[in-house]
Parts: sequence; C-alpha cells; structure tokens
Amino acid sequence: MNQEPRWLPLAEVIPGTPLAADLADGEGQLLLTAGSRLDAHRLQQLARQGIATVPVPPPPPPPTPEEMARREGEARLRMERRFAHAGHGQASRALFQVLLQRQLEMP
Amino acid sequence: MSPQACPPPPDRDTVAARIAALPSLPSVAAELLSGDAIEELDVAPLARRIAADQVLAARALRVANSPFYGMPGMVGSIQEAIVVLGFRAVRSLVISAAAVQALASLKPGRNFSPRTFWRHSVGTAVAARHLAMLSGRNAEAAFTAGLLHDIGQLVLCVAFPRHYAAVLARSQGHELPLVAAELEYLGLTHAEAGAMLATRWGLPQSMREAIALHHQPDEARADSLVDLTHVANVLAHGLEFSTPLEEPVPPLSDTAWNRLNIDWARLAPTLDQIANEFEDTLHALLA
Repeated sequence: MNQEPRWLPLAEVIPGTPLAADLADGEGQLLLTAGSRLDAHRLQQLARQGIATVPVPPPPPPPTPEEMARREGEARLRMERRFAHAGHGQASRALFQVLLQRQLEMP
Repeated sequence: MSPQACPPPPDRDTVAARIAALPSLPSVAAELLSGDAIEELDVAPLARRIAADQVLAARALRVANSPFYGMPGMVGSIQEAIVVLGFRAVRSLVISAAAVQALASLKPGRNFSPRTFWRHSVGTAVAARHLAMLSGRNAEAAFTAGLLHDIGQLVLCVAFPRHYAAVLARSQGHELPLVAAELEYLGLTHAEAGAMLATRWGLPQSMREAIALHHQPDEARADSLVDLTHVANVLAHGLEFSTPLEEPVPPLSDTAWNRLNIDWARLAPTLDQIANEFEDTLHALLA
C-alpha cells in the first residue's frame, strides 16, 4: 500500500508520529528524512525554523465488514471468558454489553 | 499446592488471634474514627496532629492534589485541604491513607501479588466514588469502602500464608471462584476476615458492613455502602485494572444495581472517567 501522505499543521501532530516523506525548508534544504519520529523537541525545532505543516502517514483505511466482524467476535469471546462466573442475571448481562461496546469502540 | 500439602482450616480463635497481631492504624486515624460528631469540633488541633505524621499527611495531600479534586498541586497543607475540600473529605482521605500505610508494609505469602491487590483496590475505590456521585450518595465514604473492601485477602494471606497460597493456586486458573476456594481451605472468606480487621481498627459500622457483604449485597439495607462497594468491585474487575492476574468478573446483583438507580446510558461515559483517574489515584496513594 503506497498512499499519499497528508500535510498536517504542526500543532495537530501527535508527538511520536513518523514523518511520511522527506521534509525540506523553503530553499529546498533537507531538514528531516522520511521515517524520522516527530517528538515534541523536533516539533518545536521545526516551528522555530518556520515550518508550518509536515507530511504524516494517511489515516488507516476503515476496517472492512469482515475485519469488523472478526474483531467483534474476538472481543465477544474474550468478554465471555471474563464473565464465565458472572451468571445470567439482568444486571450482569447489561454490564457485559456495556463493556463489550466499550471494547469495540476503543481505537 | 495440592490439598494434601495445605494444613486443615484454622479455628475461629486462631483467626481472631492472628488478626489481632496485624498492625494497628496510625494513632491519628484512630482518633479521626472516634466520634461521629467530630466535624463539629475545632479542627485546627486535629489538623496539626495529622500534619505531625508527615508520611501520612504527605500521602493524603497527594490524593487531595490529584486531578479528581480539580486543584492539582494547589493544596499545600492539611489545614488548607480542610478549608478547600471540607473536613469530611479530608477525614476519609486520611483514613484511606492510614489504611494503606498500615497494610502496604505487610509481606504476604506466595502467589499473592500486592501490586495486583492494590490496583484492584484503588480501581474499586475510584469506581465507588463515581457511582456514589451518579446515585447522589457520599462519594468520600464510598471511596474508602472501595479501597478497603478486599483487605481480608491481605489479612488471610499474611496470617495464613500456606492456606492462602493453596487458595490462590486453585482460583488463579479460574478453576474455582476465590470465595469458594477460601471456604474450602480456610473455612471463612476474605469478606469475613476483612470485617474482623475493620472491627479491630474501629472503622464505622457502615464500612464494616460494606467489607463484610460486598459479595452478598442482597443481605444489606438499601441505603448502605454495600451496594456501591459491590457494584464498584464488579466494575473494577470488568475494567481489568489488575491485568494480567485479573479474577473473572463476579456476578452483578440485580438488587444492588436497581437500588442504586443509575441509568446504564450514564454509566458508559463514567467508565472512561474512572479509567482516566485510576493511575493518578494509584500513584497518589501508593507512591
């Protein structure tokens, strides 16, 4: 997969994000090579050098329906093991659903 | 450990004698626990006595400065904490810190992980505080009850290390629920043992009851601390604060949940808040 990088303003870059392409200043001078980690210190340095945006990897594609189904199946199985001694009461089952949903919504 | 290698269950007198040999609460905490109308007294001398126990005061102040109270790094003394948070909140904080201080130095036996124990206890405390707020109850008392609900595990593990090693070996493979294994090898549960220590420490009746009945909330009164402690314990297991040695999620009582009258839709966002506050509170209490 070889997707185009997206250009993000420095303030929106999460420290630790890798650079998706070589980065040069306005005069074409190479500042950082692709793959360099943009830690907090580097982000500050780039701001001082007048860099406004940097290339970062594009967001991952949304999971396919098959991938979603596989993830849900795994999460449900794991949760069922955790709830093996929790009985079948209404409150226990409702908590199972809330925790399963939370698990599925986690990044 | 095979059942043959485990000594027979102790009798009640032996249990009581071993519990009597465990550490007391720091004296200022015992003082805070004596008398229900203490908030009507002049608190300045008491604040000075709390401050005189520097380790205890520092631990309580770290919690007072944790993000939950919304004033991180701004509460500099016990006196200030009383002004800003109120006497009841500081009293609960000091009692919680005192219990951690009395118990954290104990050396439990094999198979028992103090880290796992404290992670679960603090997770339950934070969960209990949020559940109390959602149901309009006393959040500070709920926090302390949640923190102390499982002290009986530590009690039994320190007082009967060989028995408890067998209990844990049996329950950690999810072969048998912990309480059932305790009854099999010791003839009493951690809830009973914890209530015995709570009595010895002079903890309030509401706290003793929360410790004793957190696995049997249906036996408690509707307005007690038991429901909060029970639900918080189940949530803490569900949120897996003690990973990788997390016990299975115990049954959640319909009675306890319904009595708290919390909407499931309001619980879901609260779970994130509980998870967010957990590490800070753990660090504040145990650092």
